[in-house]
Amino acid sequence: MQESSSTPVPNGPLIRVRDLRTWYPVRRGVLQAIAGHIRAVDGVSLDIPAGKTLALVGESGCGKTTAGKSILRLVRPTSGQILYGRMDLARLPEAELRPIRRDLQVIFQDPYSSLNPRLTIAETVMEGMEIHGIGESGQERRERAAELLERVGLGHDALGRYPHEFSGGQRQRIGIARALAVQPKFIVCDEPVSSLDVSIQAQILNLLKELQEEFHLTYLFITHDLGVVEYLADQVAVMYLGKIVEEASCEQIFDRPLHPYTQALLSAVPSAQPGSASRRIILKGDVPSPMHPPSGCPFHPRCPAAEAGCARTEQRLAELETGHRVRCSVAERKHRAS
Amino acid sequence: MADRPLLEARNLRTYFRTREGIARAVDGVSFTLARGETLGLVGESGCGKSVTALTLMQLVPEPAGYLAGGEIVLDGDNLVLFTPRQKREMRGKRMAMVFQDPMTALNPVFTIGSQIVETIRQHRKATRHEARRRAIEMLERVGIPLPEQRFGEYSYQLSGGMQQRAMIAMALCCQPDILIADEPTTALDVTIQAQILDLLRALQKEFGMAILLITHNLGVVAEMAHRVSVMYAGKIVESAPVDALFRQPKHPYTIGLFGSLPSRNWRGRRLRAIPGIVPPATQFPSGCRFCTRCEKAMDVCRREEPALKAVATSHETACFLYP
Repeated sequence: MQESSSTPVPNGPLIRVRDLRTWYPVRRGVLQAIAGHIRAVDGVSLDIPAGKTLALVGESGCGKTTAGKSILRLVRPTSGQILYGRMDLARLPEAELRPIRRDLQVIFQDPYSSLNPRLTIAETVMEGMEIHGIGESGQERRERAAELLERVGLGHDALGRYPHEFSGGQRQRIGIARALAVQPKFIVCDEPVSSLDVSIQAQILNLLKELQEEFHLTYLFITHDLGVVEYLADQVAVMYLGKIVEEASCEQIFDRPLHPYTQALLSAVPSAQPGSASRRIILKGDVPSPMHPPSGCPFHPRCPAAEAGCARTEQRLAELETGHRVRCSVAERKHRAS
Repeated sequence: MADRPLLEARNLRTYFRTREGIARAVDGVSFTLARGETLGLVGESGCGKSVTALTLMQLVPEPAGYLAGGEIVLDGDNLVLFTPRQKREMRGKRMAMVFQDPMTALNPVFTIGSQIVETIRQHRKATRHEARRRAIEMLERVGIPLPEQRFGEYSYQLSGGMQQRAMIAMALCCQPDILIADEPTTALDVTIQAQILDLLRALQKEFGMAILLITHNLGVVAEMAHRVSVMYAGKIVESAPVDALFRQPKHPYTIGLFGSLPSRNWRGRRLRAIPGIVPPATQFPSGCRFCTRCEKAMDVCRREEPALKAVATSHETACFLYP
């Protein structure tokens, strides 16, 4: 049983990520020589609290999806540690990793491409159970699959059907049942509701919350939707160009965002209250390429608070209040002065 | 003449022939749009909002799709009766459209500049040189840095936000009276979305065009629209000035949409999700089309179709709860 080695400290973090780097090589020319690296994840440290939801927030290309995939070892990190119990998942050989994969599951954004169109729903949900030896017989696994489908809100007549017979929201439910089938402890939810209409989105969010309580799940919730974050996250980490720029509890982030990027991001969200567009911070320009990130603080070319030094000095993550870390020397100085 | 609306859609019906039967994508939609006004058209996928836009532009793919009825009156002319040549002239000059996905809406084998020049020369007597100057002006106006250089580039060389700006430049280069924006910021990140919405507001102030803004995002509507129409299953179920709609939504579907929005106020509680899914356009239920998902459905809702009725000043809803 792998249970003993991976049982986390109660109330402590389930997973601790330390200085994680995942760089993708960019190959050019006939010889496919490495011409540079995309620094998708560039020195990320995170504590993912057990039984809670940590939201990883940022815009496209900030590296949040790669961070999630790296933690699950769906891509191989370039360096850093992913500590789960006494193990470092970043270094574990594939064979030793396989039994642990049972604990670590994922729900993808696109319910269309993440289900195999040639497997029935029963086969999809039972596949993980077979691999991890859950259930004594095929019959038992099938019964368990039927129970799970019922639990996520699909009738057990779904068992023999194929993915194309289901709507986007229903497919997302199937993806959730598949993740739950192996009794995981940790689920990376990578934009699980972004492709769904709001009325369906609400159904899935309700379901994810219920399941978290019922099965004591830990979520890493990757999303760009700050409404969703505000609704369900316990902790929030904001990413920009491969780095965490701010990390705090959900209340702290939304009540007192300290990093200029977080402030701009929060102010950019159109609120469903007419006439609230006035206090908006509008950032200039686009997100720079992660292949050639700007020097110093990667946000400085777009930052409304940037000073001359920001282009030169690498910023450090400083704890300005208990549990509230910010990577910005200007915010740090202002905060200390106040 | 002064209070005649710029655009009036009367009882539009756009149907599609499909293997499963007739899909009534847009089924009796009426609204008006005044000069300089922004009307938000809101609803979830499959409610018919994009087909409404295509119908207005007379771009419904034929022969699968067809106009089963209705009139589109633009400044006194019924567009439906236009010849193909007149329709071509109308598009771009009087009414222009910005699409959700600029990558597929821009032609990848022509430069950004040549596509704008083409539009200008289609509608205005301009030499190549004049059209080029006007195009560069327009690119600059929509906030594209180095417009002279961007003029000669292809769409793939631009970021998503810049592509969207280029498409807006193309739509506005002939100063149309109406801009139809179909989910113009849905494919963009929030900080870029804020830039584009800001730009649209500034351009509207400058050029005075009316905007029909199609979106599923209630936040975007709250910020941009003067009036809002909510669509469900091919019909408008509620229309109101933006403040009234957000303060006092009447139709159970509109109320459900607001209840579904995750926010801090709902922390620790279940969201009031709308049960079920939007029925396919070939199988709309009889009576009120929302009755299968409505908590408040009564017998009459399954038998009869409710008509839009005023519940307050310029606030209309189609629901039997409001007699």
